[in-house]
Amino acid sequence: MCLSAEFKIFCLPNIIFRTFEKDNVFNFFKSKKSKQLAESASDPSWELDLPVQEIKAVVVDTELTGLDRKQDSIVSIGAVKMSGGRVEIGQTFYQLVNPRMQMNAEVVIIHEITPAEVLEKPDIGPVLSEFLEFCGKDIVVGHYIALDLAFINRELTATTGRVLENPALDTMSLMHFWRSNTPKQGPECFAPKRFELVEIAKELGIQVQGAHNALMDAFMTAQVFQRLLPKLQALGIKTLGDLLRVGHPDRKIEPLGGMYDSRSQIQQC
Amino acid sequence: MISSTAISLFRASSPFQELDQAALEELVATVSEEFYPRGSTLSDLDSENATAVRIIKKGAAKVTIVFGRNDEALVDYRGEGDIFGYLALLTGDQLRGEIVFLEDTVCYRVERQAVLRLLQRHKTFARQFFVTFLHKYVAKPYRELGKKKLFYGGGDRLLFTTPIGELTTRTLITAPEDISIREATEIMAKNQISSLVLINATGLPAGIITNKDLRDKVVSKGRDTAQPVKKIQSLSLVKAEAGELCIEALFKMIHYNIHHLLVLDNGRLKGIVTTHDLMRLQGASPISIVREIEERHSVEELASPARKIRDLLGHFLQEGVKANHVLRIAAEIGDRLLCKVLEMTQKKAGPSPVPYCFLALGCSGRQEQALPSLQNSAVIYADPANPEQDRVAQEYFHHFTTLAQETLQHMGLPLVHIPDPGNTAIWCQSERSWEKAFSAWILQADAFSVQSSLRFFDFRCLYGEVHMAEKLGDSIRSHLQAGRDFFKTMASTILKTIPPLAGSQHFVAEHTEKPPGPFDYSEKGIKPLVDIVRFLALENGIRETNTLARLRALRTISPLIQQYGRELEYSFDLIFGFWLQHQYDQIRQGFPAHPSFHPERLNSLEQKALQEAFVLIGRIQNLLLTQHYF
Repeated sequence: MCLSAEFKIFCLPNIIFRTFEKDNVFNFFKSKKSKQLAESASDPSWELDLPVQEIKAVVVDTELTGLDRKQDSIVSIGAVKMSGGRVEIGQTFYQLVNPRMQMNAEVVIIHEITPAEVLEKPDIGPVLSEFLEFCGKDIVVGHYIALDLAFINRELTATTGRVLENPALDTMSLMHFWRSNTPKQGPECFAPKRFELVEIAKELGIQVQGAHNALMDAFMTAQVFQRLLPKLQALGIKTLGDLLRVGHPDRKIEPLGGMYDSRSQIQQC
Repeated sequence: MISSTAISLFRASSPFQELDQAALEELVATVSEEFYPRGSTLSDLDSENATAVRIIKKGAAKVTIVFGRNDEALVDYRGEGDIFGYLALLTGDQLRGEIVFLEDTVCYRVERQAVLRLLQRHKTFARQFFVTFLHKYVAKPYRELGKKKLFYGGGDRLLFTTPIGELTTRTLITAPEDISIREATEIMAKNQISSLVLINATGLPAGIITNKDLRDKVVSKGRDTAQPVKKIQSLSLVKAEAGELCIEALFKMIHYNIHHLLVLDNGRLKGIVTTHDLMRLQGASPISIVREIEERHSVEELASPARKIRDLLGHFLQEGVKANHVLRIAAEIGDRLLCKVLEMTQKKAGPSPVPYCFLALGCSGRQEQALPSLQNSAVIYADPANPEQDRVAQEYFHHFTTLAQETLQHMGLPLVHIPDPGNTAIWCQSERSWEKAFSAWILQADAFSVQSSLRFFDFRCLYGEVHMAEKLGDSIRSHLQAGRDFFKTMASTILKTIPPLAGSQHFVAEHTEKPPGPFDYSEKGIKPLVDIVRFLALENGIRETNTLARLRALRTISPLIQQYGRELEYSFDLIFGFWLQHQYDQIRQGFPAHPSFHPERLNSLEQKALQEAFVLIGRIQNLLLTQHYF
């Protein structure tokens, strides 16, 4: 995601317990939609015991016309596949989308996609169905993915009445989990200037290029995820289930809305 | 977009640069990017995972292959743009070596199938792949595994790669030891062999006769050929195991000055190897230099072999022969040359008034000197009967040593820098004075006596009466047993010299840090390692003077060496490798060897490796300090 947001950092082990408590509350008031999701979670194709190094993932990023979840829309989707810790640089998805609305000049400067460029591009509907095909049964990973998912799912619901059912992981949550389990000082201390993707990438020694292009950001996120995996494994995160537990898209900063809720799955298993 | 970085890296990397844009794009579409944290290894991957080639995008890795009896690990470094996992790719086997990532490393992983497809479709790629690639990657680590001759026609390298057993292809002709000289000669003539191994009743080799024995002891002496062959056989049966590398056999031959070596395979006699076999294996060789030295009778004639030693050194360094091996060859040949020079000097100076022994000290004593020199030596002579005789002896040896030094310089051997400080003039003392000097040092046990005595503790006999050196060694060891204070002072003295930047995490110049300047390599780089090992060796009463030999002897005795011995041996090779190269470069350019060493002449990986070695030494210094003495 291109736009920064402020986050509250949880401390471990509180992060796990607190979110568990909240889940109970949420489960109590389960909406119709989350019931649907719960059914999909029982789909045996999500193997929660799957070792981390065998996970197949799609790392995704979108560029938007703005941050308003009701008004704004998607201008581009970029994604790259990962299997285990490997970034499959040949397997990528990138598509510009006609947002069918006025594009704000400030945002155009950020992602450098001009209105003229997207005028001839397909509408979100066909792009998303292509994207869903690309995702297949893979885990969806993104930096602050809740926002991307909010937009994707809003459009999906509007065009097909469905939502993206794949389990989702937020690299931001993963990073906070790792960060809260490592020393605050000394050589192991991880202290990016801000929690923007670019800053985190720089801090992890990742080459930063073409920021705010959806595909390049997805690639950068994939590399962040790749670097986090061994660190998380060292902290005892061994399976997909473990990952989903600590890396769920953080709802605290996210209205539940049409968003996919990975938490409810775990509760079911 | 993502693939463009990959394509540009592939385009710059050896076999892939032959591919056109379309082929590269097709290749990169199958490539994935992997990340390995610093310190992780690639040894324990399953075979599915191992059959891929990896190109380092960013970071560095060390390739280790464990082989041979001594579990020696050969190390090769791979940096950005370098490739590994190549051999496993061809064989479809597990990775042979262990790969340790020295930094956080990102690699592009090319699947086996993709490479095989390229090999089939692109002729130029295939050619490039096999030619450059085999030379650059496979030959390098595998030459020490003896597989190199598949790729090379011959040459000196084979010496380091071929097990001695492979040279013994002919069936060994033996004879019972109770036959007559004539019978033996007949067997040798019939089989066209230059030597005959004699077997005793139990089937074990009892002796050997060679053409030389027949010539020297029978023909020239007019001996009756009906006499039992036993009377003329050489009993010096020097053996080698079939698995030993030719270079080891060569060391033995040079050391014992013999031309035949028995080869045993699991205790059973397998064959015999002659210098001729070795010569055939490798053409111009160290042993031919030795032979040349032995055959020369004047100083002028010796100049040529002396120059050859220098060339040989450069040749070995160029070929990437391990420092340990280079030093051993240099020491063996250097000793030969020095002995010859001393022999000639002795002739010139006339007979010595008293028996004496020429000692090699310091780096020369440890056999860690690249070029022969007498700058680090001393003389023990037998105790004189009276002061007058002592005066005569002093004068004689002063004359003797000056002559010898002049001879060496005359031969064009440059003065080398001596890592050990202190007086460089040749000390000539009687046995009694030597013992007195050592006992005084040990008793005084102050920093000065430690500093001035250190190089003397590495002495060995170079020429003359060996027993004098041995006697002195024994008496020193017994003095040391009683002098615990001396060790304490020694520890605190030697631990004062810390290897450069051992404490710093960034020897390699990072953007933010000032690159380190030149430092005295022998003083700061070599001395700390040598000092630690000498300290432990003396403490444990070990006779060896060579640092590696000391380390091996200490392995079973000292817990510290048990733990860090391997790393220290590796560090030794690394540190001395750079040192040899540095010295050789300077000598070649006509400068006198100078110890000032600028780390910038190393590439970043070498710097890193050197720093790791220094950090290790620094750590062991600390352990020594805390565990033993404070």
